[in-house]
Amino acid sequence: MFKRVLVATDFSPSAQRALELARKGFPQAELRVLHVVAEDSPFTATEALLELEMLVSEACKGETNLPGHEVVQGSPVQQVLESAKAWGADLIVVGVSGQGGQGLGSVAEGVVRASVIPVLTVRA
Amino acid sequence: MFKNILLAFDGSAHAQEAARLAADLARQYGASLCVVHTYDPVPDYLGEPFLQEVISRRTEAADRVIEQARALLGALPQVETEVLEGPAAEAILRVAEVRKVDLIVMGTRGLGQLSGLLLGSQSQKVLTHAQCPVLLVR
Repeated sequence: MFKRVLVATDFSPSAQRALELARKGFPQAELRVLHVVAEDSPFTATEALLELEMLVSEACKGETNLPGHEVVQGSPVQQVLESAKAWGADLIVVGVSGQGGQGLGSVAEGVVRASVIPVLTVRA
Repeated sequence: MFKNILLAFDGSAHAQEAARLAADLARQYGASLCVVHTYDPVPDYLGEPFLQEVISRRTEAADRVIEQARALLGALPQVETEVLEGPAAEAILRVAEVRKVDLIVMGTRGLGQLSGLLLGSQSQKVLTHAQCPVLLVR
């Protein structure tokens, strides 16, 4: 089954659910949580990293083996795919926002379109 | 974790990959798997006897696709199959709702869709409207 699961988060509720599902669904897999700071992001990379650390320690309370996490800058879709490739992920888990009447966040959709590895989309 | 998995299967290369993955997941979680195959809607203006003829051809073709799926899946705790008239996305979403499915597994792109489309319109529709997680496989 899956060995390396990359969870892309934008700190939205659906992304939280994505992390939860990845932890429960693939307990034997190595997890990595990624946030991409886009050009129009309200966060700086440092703020995002703090936020991500909080998110991970909150989600994995009481566990000794915390998932790895990283913040990168750039175009979210491209960075998610590149990070997945560089790390050797065999699954990407991403939240679906359900905003903007489309029901599918543009990042989730972009990742699904372009990814060569399976993508699990999770709704809030 | 996952107890009730739906596999959308149209026989395409992406769907075959999805089938292998869905089977692995079903075995791992001891989940039941429901294979959904849809055929193109039959135009009802055809009239008899052509209508019957078209319907039986479509269902025969569908049976062959289901056989192919079963062969790919191998031994599983529980497998059920549903053959429904399309459009695919509506049928898949309906089955997902009725069966209270907790995971939908499907190919990123299906058969008969323009190769230029990176995400099939039916896959996109399922992604957009499904209430449960969706696993897209290439």
